[in-house]
Amino acid sequence: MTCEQLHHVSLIVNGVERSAAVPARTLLSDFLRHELGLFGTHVGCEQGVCGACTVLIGGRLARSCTTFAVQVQGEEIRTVEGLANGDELHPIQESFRRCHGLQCGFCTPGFLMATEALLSENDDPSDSEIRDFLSGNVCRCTGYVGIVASVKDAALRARGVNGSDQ
Amino acid sequence: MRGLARYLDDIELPRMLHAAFVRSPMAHARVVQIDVEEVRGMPGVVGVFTHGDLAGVGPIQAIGPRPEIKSSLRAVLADGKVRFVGEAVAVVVAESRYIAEDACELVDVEYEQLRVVANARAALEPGAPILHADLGDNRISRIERSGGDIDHAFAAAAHVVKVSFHHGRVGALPLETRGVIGDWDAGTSTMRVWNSSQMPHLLRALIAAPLGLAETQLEVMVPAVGGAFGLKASVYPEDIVVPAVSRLVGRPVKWVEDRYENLAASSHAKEIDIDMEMAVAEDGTFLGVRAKNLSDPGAYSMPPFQAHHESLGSVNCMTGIYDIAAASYVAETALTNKAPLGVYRGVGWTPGQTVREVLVDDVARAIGRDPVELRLQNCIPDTPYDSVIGPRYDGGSYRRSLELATEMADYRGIRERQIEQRNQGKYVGVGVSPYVEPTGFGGRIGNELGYPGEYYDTASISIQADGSIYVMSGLNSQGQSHETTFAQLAADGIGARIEEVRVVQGDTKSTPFSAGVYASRSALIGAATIGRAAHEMKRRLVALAADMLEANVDDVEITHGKAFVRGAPEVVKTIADIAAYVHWGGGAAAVDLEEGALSVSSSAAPGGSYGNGCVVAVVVVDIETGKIQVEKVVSVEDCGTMLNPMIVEGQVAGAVAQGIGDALLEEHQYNEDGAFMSASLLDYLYPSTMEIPDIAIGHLETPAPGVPGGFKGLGEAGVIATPGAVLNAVADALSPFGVRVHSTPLGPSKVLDLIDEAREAMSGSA
Repeated sequence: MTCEQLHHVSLIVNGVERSAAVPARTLLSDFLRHELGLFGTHVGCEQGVCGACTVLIGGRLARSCTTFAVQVQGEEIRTVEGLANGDELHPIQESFRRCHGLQCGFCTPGFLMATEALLSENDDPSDSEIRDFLSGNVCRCTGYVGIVASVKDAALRARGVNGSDQ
Repeated sequence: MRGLARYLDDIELPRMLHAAFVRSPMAHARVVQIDVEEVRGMPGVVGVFTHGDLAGVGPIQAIGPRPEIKSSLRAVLADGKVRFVGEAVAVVVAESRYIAEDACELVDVEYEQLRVVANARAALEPGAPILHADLGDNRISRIERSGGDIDHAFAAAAHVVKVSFHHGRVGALPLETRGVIGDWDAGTSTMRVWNSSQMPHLLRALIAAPLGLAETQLEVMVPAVGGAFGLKASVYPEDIVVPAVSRLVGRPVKWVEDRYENLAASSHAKEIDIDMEMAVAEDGTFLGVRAKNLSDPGAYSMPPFQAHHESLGSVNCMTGIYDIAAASYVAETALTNKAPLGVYRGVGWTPGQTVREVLVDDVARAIGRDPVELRLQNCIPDTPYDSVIGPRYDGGSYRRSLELATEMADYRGIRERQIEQRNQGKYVGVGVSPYVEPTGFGGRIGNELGYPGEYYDTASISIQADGSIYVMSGLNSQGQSHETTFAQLAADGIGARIEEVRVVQGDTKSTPFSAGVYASRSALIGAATIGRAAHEMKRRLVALAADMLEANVDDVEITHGKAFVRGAPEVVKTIADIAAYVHWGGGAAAVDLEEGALSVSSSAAPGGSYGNGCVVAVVVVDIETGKIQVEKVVSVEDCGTMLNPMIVEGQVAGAVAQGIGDALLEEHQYNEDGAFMSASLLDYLYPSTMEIPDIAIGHLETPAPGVPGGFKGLGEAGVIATPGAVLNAVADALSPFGVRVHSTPLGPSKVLDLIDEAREAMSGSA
């Protein structure tokens, strides 16, 4: 079909080794979505601005739409699909559900991954720390009110304090 | 949430190909020739098509109901001429999107540049280039109307205050861009289309003829939608081209708009110049208001809403919540070489509300009155009220919402602290913006506002043999949580448990007709159609349960999915029992079959209702850098009976954020040559967590008298009312300099310019 040379890319995605042969220019976002069928990582701009495609690479937050799959050969990748345990939501997802942290859901995977990264380094973030940390992720539906409330709720729960019951 | 929702780009069909478009880099040019030879032989390329290859496909035409509104034809691929940067010229279909985009680079298009119409004023100048020769000139509409004795009002005025305002060109920018999949089935002569649309049935009706198909040959399916806000309620060339090329190549074809295409070539919104003046009596009474506007709708009329919607919408709301005896307007629209204006949350109402509220603050400052008191003095009563210029409000909390919002924002406290803070070099301002908006757009409101036409929607409910309940609605969700609200409406109406209800939406083959999701239609129309069907379903279930329980229908009650005889709740028949009785137990025959069938459809052509409320913004302006920080926003809304407070608050907060973006950040910019300057999200500034403050929301409930359930919509309110509140707060903060605000967006450099201008004007007049 194409004359492009294919490269064998092998990654540990959500704890499972996954591999495929792709052209060198294949973006990590396309690799996850269209080679591995992990559609939870969304692409909102392909300009590295909106944050919808955010994943964790080796525990670091990264934009999968400005990363080539071949660049992260052998790395550990975490995507939104790795958060829930079967039907049991991850505590951060539980907080987003409870506190109306999403409407259309398109930006949500990026916000969930960013929140995971935030709470792993700061288990009691202030409102302004939350807003600062999440400023690289864009949401067009919520005005961020529900998102900030969700992150606070998730932090409370992670510290073993009962969060919002709204 | 778990990453399992399926959006358009998550759909993969066997043998599917990918499309990419060649787009014009020119604002206005003749297409001399298109050379595709280099592309045809490329490995992985399956087809390349230009206008000439799509004979009989298109054009797109917006059909207008009023003779004074013209509408342009639009070829689905450029027909000899391009009229804005980003217009589609050719399409490549290939095995991958990467290859399709490579191939687009190799399509060689020769253009001959034409003179550019850079703005609507230039479009009307004598000798201006004419965009569409068949229209004769660039003026697409001129609508005049007046009510009351406007000349008398201005002759009797003690003060006349004027504002000339430019509302910038913004975009809806949903985070998920548009997308289309076409899949022609030659065996059944059926076109299956997946489209990220707000209006599957209307889209089907509008693309069937350009595709040369009957509506029954066309199935439009809408998967999960990642935000829309109006952008996905128009018909675009790709909606037609992608299915058409699928038919030509005999394979499914997918196209997902990239962000550049979304910014440059989908649709823009709200660009308009408005001159407005208010005649005011000595005691502050508003005697009359006059407006003249000119909207810049870009290069084409977009169906179904056409090109005049900002212009007409902005004058429809010119009297707002004020009791004004005379009003008149001239509303004009003239085509330019920019991307077409589509609809975006708060159509027309956003600039109209903004300019009126800015003008009211200007009046207050001019005559030395408190802006809140002046508004209360001129406020209409809470009872139904006919505006002199069209809208017929059905009652609300016009006065109370203004009072409550200012209380919640601590308006008096801010005023008391303001002067002292100023003396310390901190410029704090507070602005208010009370609004009333048409919601649930239907025939009655449409006619009041100069959009003659009727709107028709249907919903159906059916109960399966196991007692589970389908709600079929042609209204599809783009984040407004219809799954929840519609299930709740049906469950409440039937007496079922919400867990038993499944909402099916967004598929023209399985759901009944709907005119679409826009203008806050869902709550009202969902309530009218689903509510009515649920009521009838309950009646049937009661009749069946009465038969099973050997009781009188008047004695049977259904609640939480269980039917029982009143006073004897120990014997129950669940909805599952009743459904089994109908399907397998002879129940359908026991009562009249017609009566007993567990499938109900209900239609409605609702008239609509006016929602209202008030937004208050508090800002701090840094006079050294021009930076504006919005510290607090209070939004009080009255959407009649509230369906679900959490969803209402989510809608309010999201719209307020878009309103802040509209006032301070967002703009699609073109230079004088028609070049597009906002081609990425680094150029078009989107509100982030850092620009949006906490938003306090207050609720008032004045049920809509003419709507089942008393619901009103509220989806647009935040976008409509927030810009006026924010701009008034900025002008208030900078009032020591005598600053007046007359455009959006108000970025830092513009703030500094305004301060400089005001200082110069002051020193000049001193």
